[in-house]
Amino acid sequence: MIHLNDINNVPSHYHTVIDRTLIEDWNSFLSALYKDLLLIIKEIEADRASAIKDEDNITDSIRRGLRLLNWIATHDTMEGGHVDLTVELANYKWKAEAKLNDGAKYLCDAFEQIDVYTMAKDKETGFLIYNFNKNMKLSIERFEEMASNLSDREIIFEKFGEDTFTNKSQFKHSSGFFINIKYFWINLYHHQRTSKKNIV
Amino acid sequence: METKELLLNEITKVPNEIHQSIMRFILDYIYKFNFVKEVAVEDINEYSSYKFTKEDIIISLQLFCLLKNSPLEAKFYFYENEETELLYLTKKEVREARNNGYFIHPQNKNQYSLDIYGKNILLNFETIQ
Repeated sequence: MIHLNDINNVPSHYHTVIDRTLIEDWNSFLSALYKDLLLIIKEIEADRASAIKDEDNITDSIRRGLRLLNWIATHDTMEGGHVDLTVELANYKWKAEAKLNDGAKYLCDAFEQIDVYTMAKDKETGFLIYNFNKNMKLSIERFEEMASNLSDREIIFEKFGEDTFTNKSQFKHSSGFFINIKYFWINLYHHQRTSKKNIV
Repeated sequence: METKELLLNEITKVPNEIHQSIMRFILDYIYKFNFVKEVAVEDINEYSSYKFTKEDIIISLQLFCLLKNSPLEAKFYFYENEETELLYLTKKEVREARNNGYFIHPQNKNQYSLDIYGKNILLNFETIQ
């Protein structure tokens, strides 16, 4: 037998080790996954000055981070449609769409893609939004306003979490059933200093 | 496909190669000693000729429990002191304890602080008979 305290001493795998062991249903799977995903996002945001404005590049960084934490994560798979990020563990599978914040219309186009690769039985899917714009608040407001007006989707957004730019909405799948979408706004905007050395 | 082959197939999906290797040892161990009721870290350490760290074995045992149709299960127990019996805690109870900072004693129903009694919670890897 192992004392819980011994596991707590396992370096850097603390969250992974304990939370992973406690997975026994879809909600505990999501809880463990989101905890690790937020850790990875925090790291990527902290290093935003070196972030490349490229959807695949950022998604691949997240995939690598998840794999380091022992999640079976894959990038760019085909499952009825193209899926940007898939994470599996035990009997659970979570799929996510990833988009650069290139405006509300571009983000709303993702709902069609989500509709293709999700099925009525999927309870929750993810939406990773990589923001390089200075005013992210305005971007969020515009996106949520446009998405809420998509009459066939009946999207209603929840409020953001206290410490993170994550929230959820319901989404009416073309099957007629509702699934949840969990949004992760990842803020990669950084102020670029301009050199004045060469200005005469 | 036999269950062992299915499990081997699942193991190949695990991202870390060290954990994959350890999980193959765990699988072999369980099939070789099919009468065992539990698998300890030291069992795998010895069976794999002390090639791996204790930390990696713990992680691998936990990942092994999460394979589809895994013959191994992670179970939590609590003991109040050396003289009291081991009491089973469900995963839900341990999850709530981690969220709330306390857990409910399975028998007397009192609240026990995780800070104080966390050291009295044990994790055991048991085979599913």
